[in-house]
Amino acid sequence: MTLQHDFEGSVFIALPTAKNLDASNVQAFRAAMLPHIEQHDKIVLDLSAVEFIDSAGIGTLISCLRIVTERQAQLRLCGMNRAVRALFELMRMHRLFEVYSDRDSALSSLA
Amino acid sequence: MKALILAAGKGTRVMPLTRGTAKPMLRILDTPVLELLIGRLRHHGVSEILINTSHHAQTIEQYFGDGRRFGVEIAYSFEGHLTNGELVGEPLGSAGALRNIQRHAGFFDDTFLVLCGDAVVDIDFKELVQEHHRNRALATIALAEVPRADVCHYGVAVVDQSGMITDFQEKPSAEDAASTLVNTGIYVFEPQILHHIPDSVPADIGSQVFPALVEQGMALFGARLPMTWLDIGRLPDFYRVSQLALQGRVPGYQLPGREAAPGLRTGINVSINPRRCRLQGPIVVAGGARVEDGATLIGPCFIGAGAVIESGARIDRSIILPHARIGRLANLQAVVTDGEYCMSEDGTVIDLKMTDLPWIIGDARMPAAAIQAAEQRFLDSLK
Repeated sequence: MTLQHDFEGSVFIALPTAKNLDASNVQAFRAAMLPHIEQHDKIVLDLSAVEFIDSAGIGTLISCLRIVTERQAQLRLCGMNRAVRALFELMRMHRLFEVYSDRDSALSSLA
Repeated sequence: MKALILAAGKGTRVMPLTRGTAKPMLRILDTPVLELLIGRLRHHGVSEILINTSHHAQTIEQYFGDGRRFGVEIAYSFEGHLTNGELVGEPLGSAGALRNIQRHAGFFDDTFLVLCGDAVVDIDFKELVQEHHRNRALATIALAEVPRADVCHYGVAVVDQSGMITDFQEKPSAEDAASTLVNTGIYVFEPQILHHIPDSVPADIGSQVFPALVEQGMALFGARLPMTWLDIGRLPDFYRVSQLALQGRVPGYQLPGREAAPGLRTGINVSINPRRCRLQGPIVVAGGARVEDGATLIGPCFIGAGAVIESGARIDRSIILPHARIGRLANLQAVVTDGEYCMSEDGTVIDLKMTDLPWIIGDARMPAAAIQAAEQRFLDSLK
């Protein structure tokens, strides 16, 4: 799992480059995310490269959110395509996460 | 009068809804589009109906048989072949279908109708034919006015003052469109139209026959009569028309069941306690379905036969097709789902099997153990 990352001021931005976030790669995704979410206080996870997400992918996002929340850090999601967004709504995940349409609006919410 | 219903299309634009079934068999709630169409034809006195079939032909033939149960006579013209025990569709195109049927036994011996099988339509067919005769037309197309922004999905016709068609534009942009009158796929033809069909395969009425008639200055007319025309060409149309049906706005469509409470219709053997659910009509729950106490249904909603809505589920303006199971955590807003796919109002499709979420939406006939195992996999992924 390749995770591109970047900083915008103090905000850590993670961009998974895989097309799928599913049972086949969630463990690698989690391993790649873990050092960052345990360290940074403001995190944006940009999902714009992800075309498909399954139950395991959503579960892993929730586990990341839990770690971030326990540390009293902040996590924002952005860049979801329509199918991923629809799945989030189906599972009421859009209430659990703070979801923004694009990276800029996610960043300004952390400013 | 005689009619041909074109039903050989592949339905690619409405995949995955059309998997395993012919496009005209797509159901508006519980009734195939083709059945609604046949009902309208019968209502207007059309009793001899030819249906050309190709992809998934058997789904049409098995449902309608010889038409007796539907009060009409139906025969089929299959386009394809049986190879290794499997029917393989090879559509001839809309004009090719006419040619094929006529060569078989000269079915078209008087003024006849041709309709596309993928739209719910209602028009006074007798009046349409009268107008066709008044114009001494070889062919008449029923035209509908659409908003300019929508012309890019249709074939646009330009008519002169007498109603004769002088030009066609296939799916023009809103700026380029010379008119906002579009081809509805409802035609009246004289048998002489057969002389104008090319020998090509496929041969198409809209893109080949009509432009040739215009070029030759033949009597091709456009008719504008009051009509209902609900095209189901694209995925969002399916949601939209299903919602209209729930509101009693699809001609000839009768909601199933009977009124059980204000805004709630139920079929037989339905398990629902209106006092223990949050209900806001119109809601239709078909026979054998179960809505558990504590579910929320905000209409217009349809719960198909044998479907199960678990306590806690929230369903808002959605169509739940037969045998789907909606889990307690599900939140459905403006979707159509059959338990295998979930399609939003805008046409976004989620493949529920791929997402491994049968405990959110699945099939009511799936073993409980399989659903619990999937939920456990999810819980494990939270760790």
